[in-house]
Amino acid sequence: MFRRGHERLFSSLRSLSLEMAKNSHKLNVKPAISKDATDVLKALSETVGVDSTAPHFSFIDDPLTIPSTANAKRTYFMAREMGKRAARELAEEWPTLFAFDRDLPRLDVFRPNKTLDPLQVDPTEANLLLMIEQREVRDAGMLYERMRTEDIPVSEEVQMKLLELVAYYNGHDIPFSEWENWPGMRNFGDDKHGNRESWQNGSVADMIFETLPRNAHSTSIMIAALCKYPSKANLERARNFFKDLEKSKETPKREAFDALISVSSIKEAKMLLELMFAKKVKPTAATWNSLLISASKVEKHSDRTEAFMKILGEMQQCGMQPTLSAFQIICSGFIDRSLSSSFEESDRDTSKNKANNDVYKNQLKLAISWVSEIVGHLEKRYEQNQAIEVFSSNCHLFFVEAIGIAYRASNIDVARRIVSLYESKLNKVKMPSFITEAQFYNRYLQLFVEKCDNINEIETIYRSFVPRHVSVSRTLTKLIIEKLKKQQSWPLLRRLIEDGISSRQMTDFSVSSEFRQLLLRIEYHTLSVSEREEFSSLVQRMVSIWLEFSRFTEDHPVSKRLQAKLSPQLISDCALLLSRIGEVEKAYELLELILNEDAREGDEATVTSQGFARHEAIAELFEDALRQKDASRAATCLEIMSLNSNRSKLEPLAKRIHERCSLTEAQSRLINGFVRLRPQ
Amino acid sequence: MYRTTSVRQGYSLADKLRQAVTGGAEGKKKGVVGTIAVKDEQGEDFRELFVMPKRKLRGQLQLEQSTGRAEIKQRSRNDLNDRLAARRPRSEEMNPEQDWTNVWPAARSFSASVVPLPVRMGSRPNVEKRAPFKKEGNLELVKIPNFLHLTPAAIEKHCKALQKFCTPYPQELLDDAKLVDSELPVSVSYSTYVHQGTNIRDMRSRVVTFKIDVGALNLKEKAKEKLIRLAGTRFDESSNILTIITDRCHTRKQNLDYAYYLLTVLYHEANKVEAWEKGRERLDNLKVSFDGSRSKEKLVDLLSKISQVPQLDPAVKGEGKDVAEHEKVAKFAKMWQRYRNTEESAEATREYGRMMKELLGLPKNSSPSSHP
Repeated sequence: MFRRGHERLFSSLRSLSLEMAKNSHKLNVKPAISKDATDVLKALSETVGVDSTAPHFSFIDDPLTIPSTANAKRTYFMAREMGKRAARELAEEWPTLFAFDRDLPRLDVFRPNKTLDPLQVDPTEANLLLMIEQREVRDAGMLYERMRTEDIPVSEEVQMKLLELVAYYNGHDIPFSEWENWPGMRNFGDDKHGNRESWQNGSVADMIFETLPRNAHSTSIMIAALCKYPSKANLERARNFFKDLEKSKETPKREAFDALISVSSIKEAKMLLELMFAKKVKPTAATWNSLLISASKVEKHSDRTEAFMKILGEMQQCGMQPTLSAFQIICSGFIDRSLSSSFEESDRDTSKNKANNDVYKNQLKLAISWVSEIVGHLEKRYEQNQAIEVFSSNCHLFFVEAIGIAYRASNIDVARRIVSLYESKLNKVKMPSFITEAQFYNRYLQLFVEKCDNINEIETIYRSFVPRHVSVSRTLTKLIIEKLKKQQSWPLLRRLIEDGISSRQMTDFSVSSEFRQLLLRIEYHTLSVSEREEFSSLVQRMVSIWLEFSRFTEDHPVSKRLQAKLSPQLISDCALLLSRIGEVEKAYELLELILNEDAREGDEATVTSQGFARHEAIAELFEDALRQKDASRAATCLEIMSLNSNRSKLEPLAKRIHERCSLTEAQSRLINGFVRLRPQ
Repeated sequence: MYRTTSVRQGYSLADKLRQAVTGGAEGKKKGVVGTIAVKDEQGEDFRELFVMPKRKLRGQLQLEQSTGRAEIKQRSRNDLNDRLAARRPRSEEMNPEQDWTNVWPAARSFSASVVPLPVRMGSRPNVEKRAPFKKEGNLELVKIPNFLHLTPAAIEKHCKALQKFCTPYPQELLDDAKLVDSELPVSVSYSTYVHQGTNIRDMRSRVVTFKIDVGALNLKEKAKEKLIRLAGTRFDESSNILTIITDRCHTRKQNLDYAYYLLTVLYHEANKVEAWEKGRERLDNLKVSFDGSRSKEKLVDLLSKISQVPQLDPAVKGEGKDVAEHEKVAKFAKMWQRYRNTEESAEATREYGRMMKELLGLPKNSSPSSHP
C-alpha cells in the first residue's frame, strides 16, 4: 500500500516536471517522431552503396581469400559453412560445454537441440507434432508407425498434418533446396537421392490416407502429392481421386486444382479452371502459374504464344498481377527447346539447317520483343513505386531467362534494362549469388564486351564485375583476348593476365599462348615508366610460374599431376619477352633448355620434345645478338633454328654471323662445319 | 617440318665457339663422369666395405650450398596453385574518385589490402634512418581502433539519413540558452556501452545520474533545509543542485524510476512538519546565526558602553535595542554569519577586523611603514 502510494506520488511529480516543460509558454518542444526498433538501422543501411572492388560479403576481404573462379568460390563458401555446421554439431552433441556461456541475447540457433530419435522418444502426439513442425519427414513417419503398433491413438488433426508433410515430400527427408539455414547446401547440395523419384506406393502417406476418413482435404492432399510425381499411373490415380470427389459432390481444395492444371494439357486445364469458377474456388497466382505451365507444354509455337496471350488477358480481366515466376514460365517457353539447345553459340552461324535457323531467329525475335514488353511493364510498376515481391522460389529465374534471351538476341539495350530492373531497390527478388546471379552477370558482361567498341569501357566494367559478380572463365578470357587483339590496352591486359594467373589459366595451353602473343604485341617503348616496371615484373612472374610448373619432376603422383612441361614455343616466346625487358642472360638460359638433352629426356625432363621454337621469336633474338655482335648468342639462335630448318636456310644466317661478328678462324670453321652437317 | 637428329656430346655450338677462343673446357658445364666397373681377379664385382651411408648429411649439404660448392636443386612446392590464387591488393585498383563510405561503411579492423593510404606504424630505434614499418602485415595497425568509417563524408551521410527522425530544437533555447536552467530543471544522464563480445549487456549502463535545481521545487526555507539535511552530500550548496545517482536496480529504466521516486519522497518529507520539529533549538540550525549569539550580546553591550564614553567616537551610538537594530550592526551581522559559516580565509579575517574597527570607531591601520 505504502509502495503503491509513493509510486503514484512520484509519477505525478515526474509528469509534473515533464508537463512543466511542455506547457511552458517559453518553450515549444515538438513531440518525438515514432519509429520502430530497426528504423534507424534501416536508414543507416540505405547510406551504403556498392563497393565495386570488394568481394562477396561472405568471403574474407583479403588478397589470399578472395576467390577468382566459380570453383574456388564454391569451395570457400562451403568450407565456411561446413565449419559452422561442425560447430553447431558440437554444441548439439556436447551442450554442457557451453552451459556457462554468458552470451546475451541467447539465440536458439547457437543452442541447437538434438533432434528426437523416433525409436527412443516417448510415443506421444506432442512429440509427433514437434517432428512435423521441424519437418523431420522420415522420423515423423517412423514415430507414427511405432505409435500405431503400440496402439497409441493419434488425433485426426495431427494425422492430417502428417499426411500433408509425408505426401508432399513422398516420405523422404526435405531436399537440400529447402534447407533454410544453410545457403551453401541449399544452393550447391547434390539432391540425387532427393524425392524427385517416383511415388512410393504403400508408404506412410498411403497408410494414413487409408486410415483417415476420405474428405475433400485429405483427397486434395493426395491429388497434389501425386501430381508432384507425374508418372502416368500417378496421374491416373490423381484424376480418379478427383472424380471421386466430384461424385461425392465435394469441392476439392485449390491446391488440388493447381496441381492437376499444371500436369494437364491446356484444353483440360481450361476445363478445370472453368470448374473452379463453377465451384467458386478462388484462383490465386499459383493457379495462373499452373495454367501457364500447362500452356508452355503446347507443341506448336504459335499455339503456345496464343495460349500465353490468352492467359495473360484473362489474368488482366481478373485483376491479377502476374508474378515474376509467371513471366519466367513465359520466357522459358518462347523458344522451342529443341531449337535453343542446337543453336547455342558457335552452332548458330555454322548450322547447315537453314530452315531451322530461320525458325529460331523468328522465335528469338518474338521472344525479345516479349521480354522488352515484360521489362517495360515491370518498369511501370517501379514508376508507381510498387516493389517486385517474391512469390515462389522460381521468381529469380525470370532474370536469368530474360538476360539469356537478350544475350542470344544480342540486344544490349534490353539487357541493360534487365540489369537495372534487377538492381533496383524496389526489387525484392534476389538470385543466389554464386550460381544464378553469376550466370546473369556473366551473360550481361559477355554481351557488353561483344557489343562495346570502346576498350576503356570494357576495362571499367570488367574490373567492377570480375571477380565480384562473375568468375574468371576460359570463355570470358578468350572474349576479352579477341577484343585486345583489335585494340591494345595495357591496364586491361595486365588485369586479364593476373586474373588468369589466379585462376589456373597459366597451364591452359591455348590461353597462356594467347597471353604471350598479346604481351609480344605490346610495344615496350610506348609504355610509361611505371607501366614498363609493371610489364617487366609481370613477364618475370609469368616465366617463373611456368618454370615452377615444369619443375614438378619428383616421382610422386601429385607432382606428376601438377607438372606442365615447357614447350619450345613457350620457351622462345618467354626468351623474347625477357630480352625485351632487358633480361638477356635469363632469356638465353631459357633458350639453352631447348638444346639441353637432359632437360628434354628422362624422368627429370622439364621440356617437352614436341613442337618447335617459334621462328619469328628466334629470328628477332638472332637479330639482337647480331646487333650486339655476340657470336655466342647468335650461334645459340642458329642452333635452335637448325632443329627445324635445312642447310639452305641456315647458310645465309651463318653468313651474316661471319659478316657482323668478328670470329676467329676456328670459330668460323666451327660454324661452317655445323651448317654443312645439316641436311639439305 | 622435320627434326634433325644431331649427335651431341654435351656441348652446344655456343659452347664450342667459346672453347675455340679460350682453348679450355670453360664452356662445358658438366662433364660426363663415367662409371668404372671394378672387378677382381675372379671377375666378380668389387664390393665396397660399408662404413657409413654414402649420402651426405643435411648439415654437410647446407654447408656446401652456402659456400657455393654444391648446386641448389630447385624443387616446386605442391601449394603452387594456392600461392598463385592470391590476388593483387584491391586498394591498387580503386578509383580515387570512389565513395569511401561504401568501401568502409562500418567499424572494422585495419586491412592493408583495402586502405589505399601509404600509412606506416611502429617504432624503430632510429626513425631518421629508417621509417616506421609499412602497412602490409603490420599488426600495430590492426591493434589500434581506426576511425576510417567515421570520415566527415560518412557522418554527413548518417546525419542526413537520421534527420527524418529528428524534431527541430526549440528555437527559444537557441535564442536564450539560460532558459534551460529555468525551464528544464531536471537533467538525467547515463552511459551506453557498445562493444564486441558474446554479451550485449554492460553493468555500467544501468547507472543513472539525476540532477535537479532545488530552487525549481519552490520549497519554503524550512522545507529546503530539511531537504538538504535529508540529501546529505548529494546537495551542492554552491550550485544549488541536488544529484541523485541510482544504480541499485538491474536496468536503467528501473534506476530512473527509482531516482524519481527518491525525489518525490524527498519533496514530501521536506514539506512535512513532524511534532518533534517544534522542539528545535538554536544549536540544531544548519548554520550559525548572529541573532541570539553571544557575540551579538557582547557587541551590543560593548557598543552601549562605548557610546557613553565621550572620548570615543563609535560608529553606532545608543543603547540596547537601538544598537542591535542599527544598520551598521546588521551589516556586521551579515559579514559575521558569512565568516562563521564558510571556510576561514585570510581575506575574511581581515574583513572581520576592518568592520569591527569601523564599528568601534577605532582608527584604520596606517599604511605599512618601511622598516630600515
